[in-house]
Amino acid sequence: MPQHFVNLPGAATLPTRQYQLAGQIIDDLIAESATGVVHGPAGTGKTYAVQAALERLRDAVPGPAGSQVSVCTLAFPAKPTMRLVADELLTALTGAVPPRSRNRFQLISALTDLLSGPRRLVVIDEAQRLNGDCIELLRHLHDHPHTRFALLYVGGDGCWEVLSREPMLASRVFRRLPFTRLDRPAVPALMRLYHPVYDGVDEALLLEIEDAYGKGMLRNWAVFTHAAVSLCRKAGTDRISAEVAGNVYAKLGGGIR
Amino acid sequence: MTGPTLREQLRDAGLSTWELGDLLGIHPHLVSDPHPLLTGRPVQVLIEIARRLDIHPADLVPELEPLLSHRRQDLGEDLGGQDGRADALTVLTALATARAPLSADQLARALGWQLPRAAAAIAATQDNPDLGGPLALRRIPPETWTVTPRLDVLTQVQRRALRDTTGAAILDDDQAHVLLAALAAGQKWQGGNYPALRAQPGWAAAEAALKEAGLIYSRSGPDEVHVSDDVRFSLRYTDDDHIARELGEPPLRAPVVIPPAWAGGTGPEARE
Amino acid sequence: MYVVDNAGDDLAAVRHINACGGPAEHRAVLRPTPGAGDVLTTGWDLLVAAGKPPHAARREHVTALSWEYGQAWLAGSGVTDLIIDRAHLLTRDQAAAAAAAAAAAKAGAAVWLLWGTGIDPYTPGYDGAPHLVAGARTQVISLWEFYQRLPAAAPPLPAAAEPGEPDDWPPLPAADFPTFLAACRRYLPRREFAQVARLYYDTAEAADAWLDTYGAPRDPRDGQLTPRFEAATAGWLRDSAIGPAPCGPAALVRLRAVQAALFVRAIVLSWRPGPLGPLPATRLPGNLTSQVAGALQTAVRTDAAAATALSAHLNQGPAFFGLLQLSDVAPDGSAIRVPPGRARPHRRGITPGAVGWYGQVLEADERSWRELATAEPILIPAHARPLFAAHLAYRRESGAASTDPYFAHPRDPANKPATDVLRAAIRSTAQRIGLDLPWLHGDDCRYGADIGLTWRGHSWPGERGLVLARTGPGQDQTITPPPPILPARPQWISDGPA
Repeated sequence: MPQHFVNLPGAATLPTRQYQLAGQIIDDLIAESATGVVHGPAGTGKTYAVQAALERLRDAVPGPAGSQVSVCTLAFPAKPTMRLVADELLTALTGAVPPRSRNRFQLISALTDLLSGPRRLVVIDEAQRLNGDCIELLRHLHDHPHTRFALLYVGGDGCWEVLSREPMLASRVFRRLPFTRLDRPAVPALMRLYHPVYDGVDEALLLEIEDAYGKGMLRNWAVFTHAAVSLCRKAGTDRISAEVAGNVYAKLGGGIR
Repeated sequence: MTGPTLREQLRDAGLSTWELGDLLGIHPHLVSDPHPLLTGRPVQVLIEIARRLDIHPADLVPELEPLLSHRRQDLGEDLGGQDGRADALTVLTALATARAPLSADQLARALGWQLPRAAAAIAATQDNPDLGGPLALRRIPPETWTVTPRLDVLTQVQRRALRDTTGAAILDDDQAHVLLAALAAGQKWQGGNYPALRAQPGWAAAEAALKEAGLIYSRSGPDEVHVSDDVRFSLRYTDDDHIARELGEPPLRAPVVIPPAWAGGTGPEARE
Repeated sequence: MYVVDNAGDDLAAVRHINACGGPAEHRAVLRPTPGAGDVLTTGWDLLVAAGKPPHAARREHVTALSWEYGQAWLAGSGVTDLIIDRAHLLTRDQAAAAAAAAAAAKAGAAVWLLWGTGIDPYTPGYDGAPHLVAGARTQVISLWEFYQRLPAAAPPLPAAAEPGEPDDWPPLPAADFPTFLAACRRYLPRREFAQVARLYYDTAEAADAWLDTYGAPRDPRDGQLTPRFEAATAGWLRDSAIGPAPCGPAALVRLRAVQAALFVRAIVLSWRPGPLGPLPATRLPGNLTSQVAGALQTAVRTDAAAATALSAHLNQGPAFFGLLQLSDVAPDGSAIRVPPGRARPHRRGITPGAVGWYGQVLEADERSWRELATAEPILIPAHARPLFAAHLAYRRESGAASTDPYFAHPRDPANKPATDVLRAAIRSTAQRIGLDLPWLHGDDCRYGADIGLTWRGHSWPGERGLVLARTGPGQDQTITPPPPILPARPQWISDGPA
């Protein structure tokens, strides 16, 4: 399993609908060699969900020849150029840095060739950083009649807004999964599954924590839980209480935000 | 190859269409052929493809199958001490190779063995007649050995026919001349001058060869020859009735057509 | 030229153009390299659209001539529709060059520009509007209309004039032609014999028709077969009678039928398969197969592809290829006709009329020349015609006139002969595609393409062990066998297998 945020020991994976859909969507993209987008605000668990699905792919029992999928994950710095995207992709696929003497035609021909081989999933993280030229390159590779790979864009704030501005993507997005904040009413039940420190805790307290700190963001809950576990250990208790919660607030910024 | 097409297997192994096309020396568009021709490819190409696919070479080129079952050649290998059957096989092969019957000590000397081993191998051959396949071990008195064809496989008729068969022969120029003359003027009613042609140098030998091969025959004397039905059928002078009768098939009657003169007429103008 | 309004950048449009096919369907799809604004890169894209591997131009050191070769290959393939994807991303120069290439490739060829952004109303003087591509007003059509006017390529029709794989044929007897058909009848099951007999009779009848058309094959002065007939026979065997056979067994049946048809006209064509090694019948079909033509299609240099194809087809080196003129080659690459009267240089270092080994060399040269320059045209197999048409287009576009050499020296066409350059090009091309041409082994190699075989000489019949007896039986013109009966084939063969 992927690492939980802040390496929180004892945390369980929450089987939210979005988490489950992420795996199904990736399977669909691979089956159809299609394009998909997973997006949402930072801290909603999309990266975790995608990584869990990729690990499942990696650890899958080898099936018939041709059923294995190679996964290639890339993330680019702010404002990458098309050339950078091509270079990085080629490096990821071949394991070697392409020579600088290669021109754009040679690079893209080599990429087309490589992506015509075994089935692949190419994951572009932080996709909101891509500009039109970069998306055009990926579109060119994906539309080529010889290539066969699934393309997944994963991005944070503004990702969908950036991508949906490109008409070329609108007709090509086969699956889209927005990650949103947790529904408030569902939080108490989810948190009791999330970590033993919330087991049996009063619903009112959990909702108070949600309103004060969680805000429906799994990352916030991870940070809060990490601090809460530490304080519970010091207090010699295995379950959070209102007093412990208050101390956690103080550690994380002084109370209600 | 059965199962997934070669193209699918190669693609799954990471070989792109262009790379495969270059490896096979064909246009990538032709790689869509489910069974691209492999038999004409250099050995290195086949090795590379088999390596990439992790498959047996005979799965790529079925013709390799019987060859790959051959034993590896190793001159230093010596199985005889442990395996009487291997020695027996060696003796049979040696006798088939030799030009004349050999005694046990002659065999031993030729094979580099001790005499007891050669004798034991001969005894093992006698005890295992199946080892010889189509050949059987024969004793030629007083104490030599050879191999001859088994007598229990062919019928007497087959043996006789094989003895009479002279082997596939190609018509040489003299024989072609004789056969042409036989077609054009072999029979008296054709009004040709076949007897005069027979006086030409080489005619007699060619005529004899054709008769022995059954292409022509004489009934009423050497100055008249007939062309066999097989030749007449093959040259489109007749249909296949004679063969149908021979095979016991009822022949189908085809309408007989009077042959026209050659379409160009006799003695057409020279083209040049 | 059409601008296709693809404002929505529809994926369906991509799927459609991917299904439009390629040069084999007389179409080409140009997919511009993203981010490349230079005409040179678009030229490389054009070569890819013409079916070349992306690295081929670099491999052959012709990257600077991508437009010239791309255009020639489009012409050679008879491309009538050039589809340019992402046309809205091309610069004006790129679009103009692509349109010009299509126009030069074929008069009347259509260019389809898929425009992936909105199309504004036409404004005069507005540089870059799709209405004004390369300075010309263009018609704008919808995607739907594009699909109607240029439908997806139809799947190829299955061709099978005769069974094309060796496994489709029964094992054939080794009997020579006088008894071949009888041996087939006697030793093959009826169904298999019917398959053999149909081809045998068809081929024999075609041979009769050809011989009737040709007329007198012999010199009336001495009764020998004329050299002209010998050369014509070689060409006919190569281009019609035996060469087009799809596999060895089919070629063998055809050969036996031809031998029988010639024999009853007192013409003896012998086949000596001994020196041909195992499976000698596999050596009979022509060498310019669809696989070889397909491999040659990966070349960018049109002269290398055409010269190698011609060398494979004729089974001779390029010694006389420099004498071909543009007017000798049919526009669609279907035929080459060299007038027999064209002057040719003789081999240097050997006196005309020499005897012995030198005499044999001169005789071999004479034979090669006669097989190249005959009254009858050299027929090119359909799958190889684009190779010749492409080079013809390249030469014409280079400014060559009809009487200029078809194969010219690439750097000094006016002064230097092309022979040495062609020889090197053929050698490297053949090596790259794994084609082992016998003449490449050189005169001192006694083994041709196989181990343990004797040198057979460089000619199409010679390479196959075929010998036409110029002297011999037919010289005695009193020996004239009667013609075969017509129709000769048993009725049950015409009616189909039992």
